[in-house]
Amino acid sequence: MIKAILFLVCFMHSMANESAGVPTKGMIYYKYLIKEKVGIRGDLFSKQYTTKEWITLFDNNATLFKKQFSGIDPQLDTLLNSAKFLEIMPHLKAFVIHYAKDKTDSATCEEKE
Amino acid sequence: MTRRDLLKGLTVIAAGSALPLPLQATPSMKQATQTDISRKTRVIVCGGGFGGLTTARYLKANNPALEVLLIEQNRTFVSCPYSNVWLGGVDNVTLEDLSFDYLSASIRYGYEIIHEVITDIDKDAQTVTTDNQTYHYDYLVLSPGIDYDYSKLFPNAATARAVYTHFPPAMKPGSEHLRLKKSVENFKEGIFVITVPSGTYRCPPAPYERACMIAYYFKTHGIKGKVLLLDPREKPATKAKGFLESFNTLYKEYIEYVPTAEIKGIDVAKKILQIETFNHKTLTYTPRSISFAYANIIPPMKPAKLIDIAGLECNESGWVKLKAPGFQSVTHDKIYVLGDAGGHPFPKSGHMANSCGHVVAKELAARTLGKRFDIAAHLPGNICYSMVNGSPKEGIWVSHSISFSKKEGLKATSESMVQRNKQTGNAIASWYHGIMSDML
Repeated sequence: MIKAILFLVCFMHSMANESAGVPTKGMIYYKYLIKEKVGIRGDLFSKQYTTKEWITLFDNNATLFKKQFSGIDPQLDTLLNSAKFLEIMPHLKAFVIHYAKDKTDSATCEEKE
Repeated sequence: MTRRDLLKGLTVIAAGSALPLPLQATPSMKQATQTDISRKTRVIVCGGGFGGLTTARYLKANNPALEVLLIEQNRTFVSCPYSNVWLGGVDNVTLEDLSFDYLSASIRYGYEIIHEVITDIDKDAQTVTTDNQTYHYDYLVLSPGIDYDYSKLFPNAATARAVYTHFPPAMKPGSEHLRLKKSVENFKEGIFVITVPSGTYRCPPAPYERACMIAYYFKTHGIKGKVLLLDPREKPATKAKGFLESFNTLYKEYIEYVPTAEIKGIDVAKKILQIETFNHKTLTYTPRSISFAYANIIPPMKPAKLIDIAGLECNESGWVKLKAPGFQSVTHDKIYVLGDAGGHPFPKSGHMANSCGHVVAKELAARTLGKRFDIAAHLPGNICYSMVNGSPKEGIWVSHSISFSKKEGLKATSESMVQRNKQTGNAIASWYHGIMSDML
């Protein structure tokens, strides 16, 4: 019984962490699932809006985000309305917020060679 | 500032420090207490790392009338830069080469040093309280470095403590480095994990250089070990081409670089790490379990606790918000912050902290002398070497120059040499000894 409770607590904790989203994961998802469809590099994409604006766009299961980015590419429209989008959404949100317009960090730091 | 300027500066630093300097009497401890009224302007520098030591020395050099008090809790300075070369057993570098006493520098450059733990900073009263007493300041310079943020990797505090105890990050010098060195020397066989932190962290090339140096040690000591380098990024955070080329050619049998690796959990007792990596076919993260013999777990980082104690405002990324292009905290005009805790878009490196220390010292000395100082015309710069091979010694480098405009704010641009070469390998020791003699 105690083991079951502990498992449940750990599971809920890990789910809570997962729902918080991981910026590095969001960056990878953006690159492989969205970048080509919107035609914008990840660093420029995240800098389009401030933290507050991104939060608003991702409110209510990203209702405004979907509205904002639909109609650009048919494949993107399919993605936005799929279960996959629900899976990547917290990470995507974490990514764009981490590198938002009002943040000093930039998603890429290319070096001249 | 160009790379040439940086190298020229270092040559001057090295040459200048070789000259005999007169000993200067240091003020007595008693003069530093709050109860005494000093006619001198007092600057307290908190933190005796690259930024703090440089600031303390050059404040006195730029305005000898200042009373400069450096507060550092450790009694020995141990360098993080160059420690990977020591880990790899390259160039006969010893722990003594990395270690320095604080007192000699204090005597040589005429500032006072005390080894106490800061417990409070009162910005309104302009006082710093330690575990010993309270000191008044006219200006405060904070260069406290970083703390580890395990909560992002292991939300369970007991797990985080166990990970720190058994597999310390060795990104803060001293004890952690000694444990890592012993772990490398005693390693028999199996997987040696190194994790690269997410976000902005101290010394971006360090985990990659460390992988090279540990692999070099395994290779030259006939150890059947493999370094598994777990990185949440798709490629190394800096000098990517140079590091990847070194992994794939010099250490093909000794290093496995694992990009897009997210840590999901750890069993400290069983030495099993759970990770996820991105699968390019299924376009999703898939789990992987790794059984390891030893691990160097480097967690994400945040500013040292002293920033909390001082109650300074931080930016959204968690680092101290500063008045660009300078180093004054947005919270308080008389408090300067530099080094790894600062929120400017600078790489968090020892050289950058040293360079910022020069700028802060000039600006603050000018301020105390009632002179104007154009900080935008004296922005810092950075050069960062990494040793990738021990025999022959070969290295790679990256440099950063900083620019400022009202429209774009501060901006760092980089230049790098990612093709490993002997010239860079040999330059690393000169760089290290040059920068040490600039501070200590």
